Amino acid sequence: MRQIGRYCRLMGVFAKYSLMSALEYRINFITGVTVEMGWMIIKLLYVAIIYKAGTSIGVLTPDHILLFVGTYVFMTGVYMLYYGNFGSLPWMIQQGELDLYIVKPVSLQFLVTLRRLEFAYLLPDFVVGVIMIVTGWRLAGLPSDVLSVAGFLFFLLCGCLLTYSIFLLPYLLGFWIISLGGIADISNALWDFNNMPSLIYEKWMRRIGTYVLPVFVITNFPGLFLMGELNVWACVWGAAAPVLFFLLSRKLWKISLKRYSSASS
Amino acid sequence: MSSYRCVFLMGLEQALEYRVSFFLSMLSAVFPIIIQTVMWNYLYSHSDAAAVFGYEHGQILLYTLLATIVSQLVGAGFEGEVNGDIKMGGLNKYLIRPMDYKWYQFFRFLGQKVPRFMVAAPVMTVIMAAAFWQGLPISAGRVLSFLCSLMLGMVLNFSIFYCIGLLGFWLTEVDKLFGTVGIVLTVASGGVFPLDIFGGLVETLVNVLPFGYTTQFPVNIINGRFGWERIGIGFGFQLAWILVFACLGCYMWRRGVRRYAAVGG
Repeated sequence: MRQIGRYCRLMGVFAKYSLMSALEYRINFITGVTVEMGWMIIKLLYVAIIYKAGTSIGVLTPDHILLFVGTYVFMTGVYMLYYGNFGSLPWMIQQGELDLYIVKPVSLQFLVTLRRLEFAYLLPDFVVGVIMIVTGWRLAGLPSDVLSVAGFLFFLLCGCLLTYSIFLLPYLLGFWIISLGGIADISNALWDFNNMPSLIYEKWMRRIGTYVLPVFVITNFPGLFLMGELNVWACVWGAAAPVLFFLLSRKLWKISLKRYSSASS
Repeated sequence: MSSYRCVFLMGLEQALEYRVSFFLSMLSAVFPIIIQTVMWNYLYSHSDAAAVFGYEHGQILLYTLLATIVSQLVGAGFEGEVNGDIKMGGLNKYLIRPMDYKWYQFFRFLGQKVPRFMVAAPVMTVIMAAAFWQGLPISAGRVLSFLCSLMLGMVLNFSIFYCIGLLGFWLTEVDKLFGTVGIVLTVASGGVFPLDIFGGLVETLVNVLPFGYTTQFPVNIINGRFGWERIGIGFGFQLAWILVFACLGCYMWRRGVRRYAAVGG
């Protein structure tokens, strides 16, 4: 427990310094917000098309889909909060920058992947995501009792851990290969599968996206739980997958780190 | 001319420098195509989407398949380098060479497009053949017009982003702004969805503004949405916008070089 407390305090320090940096370079902060808003336009286009068509996807009405895409927008903000650290990992490996961090008395993975937080990317996604979730929730007439809200938030938290664990994996290839541009593109494109609720995809795609590479769990399970569409086993998987993938990312991080040769530092 | 040939070949070599990354980057374009194809198939099979969006099912599918490829082919990506040259003094070495900086960037841009075109050409041929077999009105004239408009779209997009890159003469912090502009222009060009499905003012703006003439116009030639009269008008708009941005680029360059302080380099 003491270790957890220590890491929470460290996280607080990272957040504080990132926020101070964001406020110091205000133009950077504003342009960061505009970049994220640009990406958001694309996500909102999907919702606009669904509303224009006025079609339900299975049990999902356009209002339900608004909630699902809102969850996706919100989770994108959370992912973007620390995404820059993933992106700079290959560069740190090539330049031998890990040397500076490897000697610190704290988990290297924690330090390298969470030290810099981009609040400029979080802000627009957080605001718009919450508005879409609340609006979709109300328009779809979904229950708002304590259990429903707690379950929704629980699966959101699980989604956060799962996002971190799954999307760190491609960047670990930076320990083996030099240019990761294409791999980053693939992993970003994979994330975009959540632009639409998983129910729109074929059954085999849903199974792969839920059980093999559970990207659909991240943004679909909170909404499906609210609608009462998750059975007990799905709930168990929704809670277990983040833990399993986090353990996998830890294991692969340790294996990958053995490849680090401290070049050019 | 031989120096520009060398620049062209240099661009080609640069594009092939990290081949795995290059092919993975091309492959990443497949994912949004899958998402959108699934979405359109669902909407067209469960509602009267043709009446709502103004595209036949085959037309919208062909649009989805080709727009992503066309968007990648006309995509710029050199504006950050232009800005870097201005900021870091890298422009110095081009100013003293018997070579026009604009043409240097243009031929390198073309060279970098060759490998992408080599990959995209057979894929587009198969897609067009399949569309022809499915009954879409694809003819030799349309294919030729499509290729011409694609080339002009590349030139137009180059001209637009060259002007955007030259903003570095006047603005100090534009790196992230390029990100925003890039995303917004991708959407405005119809690289994600055809924007004329929203009708009204949006459709009018797409028809008048230059961005749609980089992606949406070429694709709407080949999918049979545009008649020959509309194609003729579209070519007129493409040429006119190229002229406008070429003149604007020359003007910005002349004014910008006067402000250029040649720091560093």
